Amino acid sequence: MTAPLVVTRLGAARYAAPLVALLTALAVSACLILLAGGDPFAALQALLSGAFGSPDAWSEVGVRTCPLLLTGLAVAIAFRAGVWNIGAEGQLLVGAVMVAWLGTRATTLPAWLLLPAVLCAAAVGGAAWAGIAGVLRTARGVDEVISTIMLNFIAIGLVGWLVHGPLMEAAATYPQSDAVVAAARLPRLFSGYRVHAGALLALAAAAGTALLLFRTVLGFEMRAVGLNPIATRLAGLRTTGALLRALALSGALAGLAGGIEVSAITYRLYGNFSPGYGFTAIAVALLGRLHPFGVVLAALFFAVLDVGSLSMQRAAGVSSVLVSAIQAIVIFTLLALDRWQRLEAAR
Amino acid sequence: MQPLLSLRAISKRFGALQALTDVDLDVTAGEVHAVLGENGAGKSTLMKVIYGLVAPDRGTLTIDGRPLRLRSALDARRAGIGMVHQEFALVDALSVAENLGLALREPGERLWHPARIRAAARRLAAEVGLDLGELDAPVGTLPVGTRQRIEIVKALAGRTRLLILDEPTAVLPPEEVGQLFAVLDRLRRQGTAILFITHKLHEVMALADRITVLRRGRVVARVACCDTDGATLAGLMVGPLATPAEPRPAPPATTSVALAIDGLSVDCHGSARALDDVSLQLRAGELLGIAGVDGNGQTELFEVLTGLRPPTRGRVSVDGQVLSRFEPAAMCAAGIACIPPDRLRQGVVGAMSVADNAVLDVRLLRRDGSWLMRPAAQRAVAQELIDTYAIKAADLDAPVRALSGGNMQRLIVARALATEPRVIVAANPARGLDVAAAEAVYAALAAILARGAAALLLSTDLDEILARADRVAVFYRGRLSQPLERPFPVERLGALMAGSEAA
Amino acid sequence: MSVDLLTALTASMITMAVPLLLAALGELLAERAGVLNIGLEGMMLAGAFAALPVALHSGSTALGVGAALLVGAGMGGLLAWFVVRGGANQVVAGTALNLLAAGLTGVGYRAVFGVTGAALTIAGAPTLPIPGLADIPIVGAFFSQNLLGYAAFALAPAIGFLLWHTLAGLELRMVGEHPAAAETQGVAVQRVRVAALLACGMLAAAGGAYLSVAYANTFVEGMSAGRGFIALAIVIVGRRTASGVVLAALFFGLATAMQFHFQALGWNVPFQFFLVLPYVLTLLVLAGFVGRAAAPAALGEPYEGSRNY
Repeated sequence: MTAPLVVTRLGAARYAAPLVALLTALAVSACLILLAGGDPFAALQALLSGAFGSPDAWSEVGVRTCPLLLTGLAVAIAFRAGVWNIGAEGQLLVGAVMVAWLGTRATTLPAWLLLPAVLCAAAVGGAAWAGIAGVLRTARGVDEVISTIMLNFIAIGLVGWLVHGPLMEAAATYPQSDAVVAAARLPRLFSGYRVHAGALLALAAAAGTALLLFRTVLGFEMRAVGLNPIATRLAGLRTTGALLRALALSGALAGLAGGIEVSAITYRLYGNFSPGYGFTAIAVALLGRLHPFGVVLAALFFAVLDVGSLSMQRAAGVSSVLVSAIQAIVIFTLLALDRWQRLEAAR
Repeated sequence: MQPLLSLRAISKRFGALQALTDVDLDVTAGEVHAVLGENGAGKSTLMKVIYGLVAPDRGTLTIDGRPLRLRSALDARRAGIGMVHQEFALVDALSVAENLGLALREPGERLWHPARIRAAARRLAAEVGLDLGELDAPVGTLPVGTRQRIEIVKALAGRTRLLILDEPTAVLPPEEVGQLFAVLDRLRRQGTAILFITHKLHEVMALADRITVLRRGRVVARVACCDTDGATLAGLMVGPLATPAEPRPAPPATTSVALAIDGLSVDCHGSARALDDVSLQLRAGELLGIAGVDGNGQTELFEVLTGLRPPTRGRVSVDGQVLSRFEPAAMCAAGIACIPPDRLRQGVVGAMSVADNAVLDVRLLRRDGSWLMRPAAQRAVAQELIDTYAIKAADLDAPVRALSGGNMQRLIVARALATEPRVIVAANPARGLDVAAAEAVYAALAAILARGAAALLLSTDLDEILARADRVAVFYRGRLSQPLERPFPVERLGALMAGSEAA
Repeated sequence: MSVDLLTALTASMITMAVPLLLAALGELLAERAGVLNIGLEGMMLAGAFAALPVALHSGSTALGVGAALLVGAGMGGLLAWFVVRGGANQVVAGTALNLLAAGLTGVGYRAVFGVTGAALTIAGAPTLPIPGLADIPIVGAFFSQNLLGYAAFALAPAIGFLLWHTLAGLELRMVGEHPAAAETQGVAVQRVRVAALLACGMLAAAGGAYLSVAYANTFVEGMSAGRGFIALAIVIVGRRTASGVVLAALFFGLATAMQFHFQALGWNVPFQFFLVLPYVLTLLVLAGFVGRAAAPAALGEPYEGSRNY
């Protein structure tokens, strides 16, 4: 694989690439809307009012940011370490399973114990699911790109089986789990709004990830290994377990994202539980330039798009899946800018 | 007699590096023409120019007196030039026949006819007396000698009149070198011109008709083999020896032994031993130079001493403590620091900042035993290194690969010295540096030697070693000679390097 | 197990296998040339979408498939521009391609057919049974397919022939294994890879078109439903050979078909078992528990040529 897309840059250029990518994506989207017979300005207006027009909209943006931020951090930490974890989606689902399972089974525990327990279980579950890919890579040389993709689909199948079988609700009407008990639910921040304490947890995770990457020797090792394993090894730093550590950390963050969704929003596990957070996460991480604080902004941006696109769909008749195209154009623009900058640097 | 191939005033520059300057070369049909030179003398670049892989900035090529313009390797093939690369261009997963398929295709042939290719390969191999073995075996399963024979057949396919071999014996076990030479001799008698790149003098003397010596991208001599001898050639390769500089005050003989190596061996499968029973003692305050033509054991010694490669046998001790683990981390803990030969690949993480690279060493990162990074303190360390060693780095946050080679090397040396090592292993520390940068590197080394550290200088540049070292030992085919004291007997060193005097 | 059930199962297996086979054959070409194309799913989806309106308005499924081929070549060209010409990371670019297809087809679907999408069904590609052979019990289904189905099974040996019995195929495999060695033999590495990706895009899009104009006879958002990733798995399980890909595609087609038929068989297993079977099997193959298949040595590695310095 080529080197990760970490490009440390001088001055303003560091921030220019994501902005150029955003503007390109918005411009292309406007053209798409025109082509589709819509009115780009009306669409933009609908999008903005949908995302910012009411306290409820703000709350929904917060709700949406949470899983995007956590999975975005998961991808960023893996890519930083040179590990191509495409499996955030599967790790997120396993985290959700852990919460749905503990939250409906360990019902006798008090809230002060159950809530931390379910969230820890979510992180551990995600880490273990990612760990499968890590072990396959270290022990059997299996490329993590393919194995994490396969594990995504195995996790989807696992969730499908669980909600039709072992975890199916007591009423046995719908393919979904019972709701987790109140003691396993994350509190909401404001009554009447869905935005919840998980958003704060996600922000704390971003700060934690930044501390880990930039303020600990472990993080330094991970970044250096991803960029130049030989020089890192010669410097006396640890390189052997680096891949496993990075995958486990990445999986834990993604698992937490899924766990928080169940604990705070859905309360139940069901089939199409995730609208592909784990795949959007790749766009989030790249737009955030693999920096935790950049990832916060990128997650917020995509959350605004997600929430706003629903009202855009209602008001302007433009499909909300336009957001996927915007994500794609962001990634393509960043790739093209990387190429351009490499050529400039070589000159 | 008109030469088959003529080069006139070929020049090529890569960035700041002038790889070739006004090179003239004539190769005649039916001769083995050796191109001799140290590593980095420009031999490989020159061959790539002839094979169409590198476009020269200036100069002309003619074949049979007609001008030749090469835009790709394919053009060279069409002109009757074949090349055996130092790193074989063979596909391990494909069979011998498949590897030869494209070279042996007839004009206009579209389909893959394994039987025809096999027959053609056998015919061609038999003509020159090469044994290719089983043609359906995957190349990856074959020994290196067989692979080389496949490469030669591939290069000879299609009426090749000039065959280029880039260091062909570097990969061969000694017993197969003779077979290769027999084949080359037969080709010569059949009228093929052979360009033979090497830095091994005895091979040149054994095989070549004429010799062109390159040094720093220029032709420094053209001689017929019968008019010269190994020692003269060694002198031509390394250049006129400067008067050995004033030696540093010699370290007192009574100081303790900082580094002791005892019976160190590294086996390489399929080839001669890379290190063969190497022993040496390095006293505190001493700079021991290890000379030798590249490929005779320096790389392996560097890798063992930095923990990149465990030895097959032997002991290494630092300050009397025998090392039990050969891992870079263990070497760091024992007090060995290194200046690696390949700056960008081994010395720095190019995409990380100057400040990060300044502390890229476990001893600097964990100086206080903590697992936390202290950016402010570490930036202060970086700034101090930059000031002390006059490193030109405007921005601590800029990626280190933006630095010039000289400044990057100064940073690597500064970092190594900042770890307060007991032993420094420096591999070609001045390669590619201008005079000022090289002087700065050695001034820094001298300062830490004065504080009681010891240094091992591995270099293929004999001048450098003679100017800087207190004692010199010479590598030849994995064996290390007894160290020689100042004043250095230059002729004897040349003989040791050429292997014409037993260590 | 009755003959009727087996016949139905075989027919269902083939229907499920054809789109997988087409996409996997494309991926086979791409991977043998050294490009790991994660964007296969997006190429299928784009093909499925492009075929429908053209087939609907022209009344010709062939024209619909032609439109899919064009769009597929465009997708392949886009990917090639980034990963072959630009040396971009293949995983990242492929992921972006999937997102792009999801977004564009979603927006386009509403634009072309409105929100409801009613009355969107077409007649679909006609079945062309081969007289005599089509009536054989169980295996008769192989001889009772539409044109795309026949084409898929005919393309497999054709691609096998191309890869292992022509010098062009030898060049392509060399490019995937050792591009620098191929270049010394005068092979235009980048051109070969671009061509492989164009062909891959067209084949994957044809697989997608099969879904919309020959199987479902309509378009549904996200209708490729992970088949692109199954095709990736098929290439691995099929050991990157043409015959292996056919067998693996049939096997995975059977696994999918079993979801609809296993209850009739009286098996007491959850249907998700068949859903994850391909992916688990792929992991086992990759880990070497079910025979190891070495990937082309240069798979995933950009190559920008040795002359560029």
